[in-house]
Amino acid sequence: MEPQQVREVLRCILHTIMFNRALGLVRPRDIDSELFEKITYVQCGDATYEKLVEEKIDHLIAWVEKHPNKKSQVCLSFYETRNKHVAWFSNKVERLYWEQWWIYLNVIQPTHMRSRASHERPIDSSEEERSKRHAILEAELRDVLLQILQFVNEKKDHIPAVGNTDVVSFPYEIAIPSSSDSSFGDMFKRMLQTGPPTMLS
Amino acid sequence: MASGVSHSEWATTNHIVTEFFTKSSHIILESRIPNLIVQRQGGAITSPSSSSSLSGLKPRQKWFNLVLSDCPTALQVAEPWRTNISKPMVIDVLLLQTRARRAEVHGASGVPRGTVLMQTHSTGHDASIAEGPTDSASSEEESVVKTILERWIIWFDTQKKSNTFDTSDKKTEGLNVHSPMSGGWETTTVRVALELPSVYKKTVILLRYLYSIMRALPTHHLFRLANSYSESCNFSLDFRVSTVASPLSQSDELAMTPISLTPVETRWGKICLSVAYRHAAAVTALEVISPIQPRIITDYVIRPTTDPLRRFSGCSPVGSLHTGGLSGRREVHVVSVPSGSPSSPPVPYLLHRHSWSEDKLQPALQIPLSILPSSCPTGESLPGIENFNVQHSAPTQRPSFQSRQLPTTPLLHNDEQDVGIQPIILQDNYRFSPSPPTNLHHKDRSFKGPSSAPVRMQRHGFWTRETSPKPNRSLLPPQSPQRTSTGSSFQGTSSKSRFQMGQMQDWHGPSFGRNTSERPSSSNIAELKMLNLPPNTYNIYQFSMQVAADKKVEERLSFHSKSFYPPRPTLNSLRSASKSSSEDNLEEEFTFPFAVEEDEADEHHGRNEITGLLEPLYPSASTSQSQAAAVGALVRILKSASPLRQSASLSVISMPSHRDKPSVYHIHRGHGRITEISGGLGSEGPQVGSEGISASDMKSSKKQITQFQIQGKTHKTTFDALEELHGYQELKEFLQRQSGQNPVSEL
Repeated sequence: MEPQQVREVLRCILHTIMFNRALGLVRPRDIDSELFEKITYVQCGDATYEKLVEEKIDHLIAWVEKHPNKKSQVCLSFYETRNKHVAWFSNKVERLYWEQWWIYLNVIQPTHMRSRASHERPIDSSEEERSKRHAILEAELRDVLLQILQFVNEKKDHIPAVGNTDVVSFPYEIAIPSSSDSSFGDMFKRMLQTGPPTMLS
Repeated sequence: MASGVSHSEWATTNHIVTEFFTKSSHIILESRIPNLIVQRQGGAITSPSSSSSLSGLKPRQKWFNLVLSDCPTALQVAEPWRTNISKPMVIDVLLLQTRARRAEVHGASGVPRGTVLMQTHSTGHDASIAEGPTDSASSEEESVVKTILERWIIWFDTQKKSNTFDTSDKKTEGLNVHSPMSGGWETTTVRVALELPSVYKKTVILLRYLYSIMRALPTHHLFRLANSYSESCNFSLDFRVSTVASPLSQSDELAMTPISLTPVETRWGKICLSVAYRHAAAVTALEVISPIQPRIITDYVIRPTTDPLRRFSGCSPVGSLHTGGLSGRREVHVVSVPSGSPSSPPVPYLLHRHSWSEDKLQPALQIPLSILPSSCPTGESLPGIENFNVQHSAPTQRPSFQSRQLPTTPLLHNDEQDVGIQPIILQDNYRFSPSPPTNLHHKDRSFKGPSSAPVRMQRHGFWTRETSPKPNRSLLPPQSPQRTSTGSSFQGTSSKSRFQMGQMQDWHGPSFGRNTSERPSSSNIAELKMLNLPPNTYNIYQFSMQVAADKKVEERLSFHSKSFYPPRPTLNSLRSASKSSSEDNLEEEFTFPFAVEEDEADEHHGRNEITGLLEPLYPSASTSQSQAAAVGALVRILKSASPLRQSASLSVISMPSHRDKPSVYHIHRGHGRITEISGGLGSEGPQVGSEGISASDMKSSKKQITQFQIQGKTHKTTFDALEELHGYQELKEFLQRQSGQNPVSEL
């Protein structure tokens, strides 16, 4: 996808996931995608989450600009905190991720696309190619949303009990590649440190 | 105790299931049927997206932690399942495409119609939710193409394999899991929580999923289109709620994809939800084709260049349609030209406010214009007049006028007063005086034009520059080329028309004077033959009359008519009624080069001309019935016409005394006034002199007047008018000097 499409794609996916996992009192809000004509996603109405999503998207876009034509991932994780007694006098808050959503992105710079198109096809068809890619991306995004919903539908038992009355019932985090190259490595370390999610009853 | 706990749990579970039915139906209907959301006070639509606090919510809205907008329809739909959850709820989302434009497909209540078929329930209030379309619908529904887009089925499956009253809070059931070790599928036992909080949590998630997938399915795009183009959409979305899923056709089954949502287990059953939706490709094919619907433009200003006949192609009754659920509270206005029903709304440009007749057209509004072209083949035959025919409605007062295939030129219909200049004139002249052939076509006196028309017609043949009001000219098509062409041909056709008029008048018997008296028997024949005249001929004649712009020609023709068509007694009655207007119109002098009334020789010559014209023209009209014959006759007349100059001078001097109304102003040397004196120059002198003027003075003034009149009659231009004015000024000064008053320099 192109850089200008990243924001809208991430919005659709992240908000769709969160709406299905925000089990608090929600007043849903339908958002018609500005970029994709036939896609409508639902927001849960939590201002904090919306703000966080926009920040993370901005950071990702900045990272993509610094690392053009590199694959990137966005991870939306839901966890619950547990106090783990590491030692006698220290407590460590442990996060138990019970659900993680990985979103893989392949952002292609327009210049690269144009140069590629120039080699393969005349420049006049770049717009046509662009529209085709846009349509393909829209279809893929729709498929991704349906897949998300399918997962939401199939897996319900692992979701922990609702502990508060907030809109977003469970703690969450959104991980994106940081400016440093080792950001993804840090993410892997964190994943290895934490155990697999338990099947909460 | 255990039974009490189970009973309470059963009640709670039952309550959850009941609310689940309500909530799910609410989500489905709200996401598929437009305009279901109730507007709050102030006009603001209650939308879930409002950031208002959640404190003022009703308890029912807080169920499943999903706050939705108020939807009474959804509540009504789910009402039967509040008392009985054993039956499934089948919600069909239908696409209604009105192929044939009929009257209301659904009721006028504005509420989206849906059908609730409670085949096993007998709840009266439920069955009255909607009287929407059924399989045994009326003929109107048959014209609506229904396509099922989605089928949602909600049911509570109470079939249990285990003991219903199992008090354990967990349930073991087999779950097939793929084992990487063995490479096959193994069955492991999983303990499923059945306590109420878990059940409730899962139903919350299920409804979240339902809400999301409603926006992800292809049908949602149609819903957005219906919401966006509610008034111009040619389709609508409707729903149908029933307890039995009607069998789908094979094509529908192939086009739809089923999705079974993971049921929510409870101790007393499973809360199940499934959907069969139409593929994206199939839905795309059903999308809006033309968002723009034809509308009546009430303030449309018709231009003569417009082809009105095009508007009548494919006419269908006008009406506003309430189309289905889209609809619900909106109307899809499908408007077209009425097909002749008097109760139908008037045609757009019937409502057009013409300058000539706004009120007079009102009665004609009921008459569809579609009749006009068909009933006026003459108009259709002449391209120039075609527009005239359509522009102006056929007045109701003269239905026969239309039926007799008279060309409906604008001057004929647009204003009764103005119409009187043409058709009325003709008509009246037909009756009272020598008249154009039009009169022979319709003897219908229902059309009542101004009585001044026949007087005018008698004097001038058709309107003069003064008598033809500007609106009348505006009635003429601004198609200057046509007018010009017609006007240019007017010179050639004027005589033809004149002689047509003459022959008509001649045919009319005694009213036509000596000519007719000599030929009483021919009048009837002429009348009959005139009726058989080719419409084209008549149209040319009439049209040429309308386009008469050359005053000289008008003068000639009017004088000719005057000479040949002495007034009948009945005409006086009309004259008296319209004396004021008619006398005002008889102010000008006209030179009638072809007028032979003043001169017996000329009159006889004219009569012979007319007589001669009768035979060649009349037979030709009866035989050939073509415009060429009329033109040929006119050419012959022109060739045999006497010179203009001599006739003009002669006509002025030798005005017959038996004339009642000379078309000149006589300056009265009475009290310094310029008055109109009726009567001829010679015979009515004593009448003029009744105000006490000496005879010598009268004679001298008469000579002056006579000379002036001669000059004025020949060339009536602006320059002449100015000269005339100066003459009047001199005369006034002379009169004032005579009377001893100070001369007035200017009149």
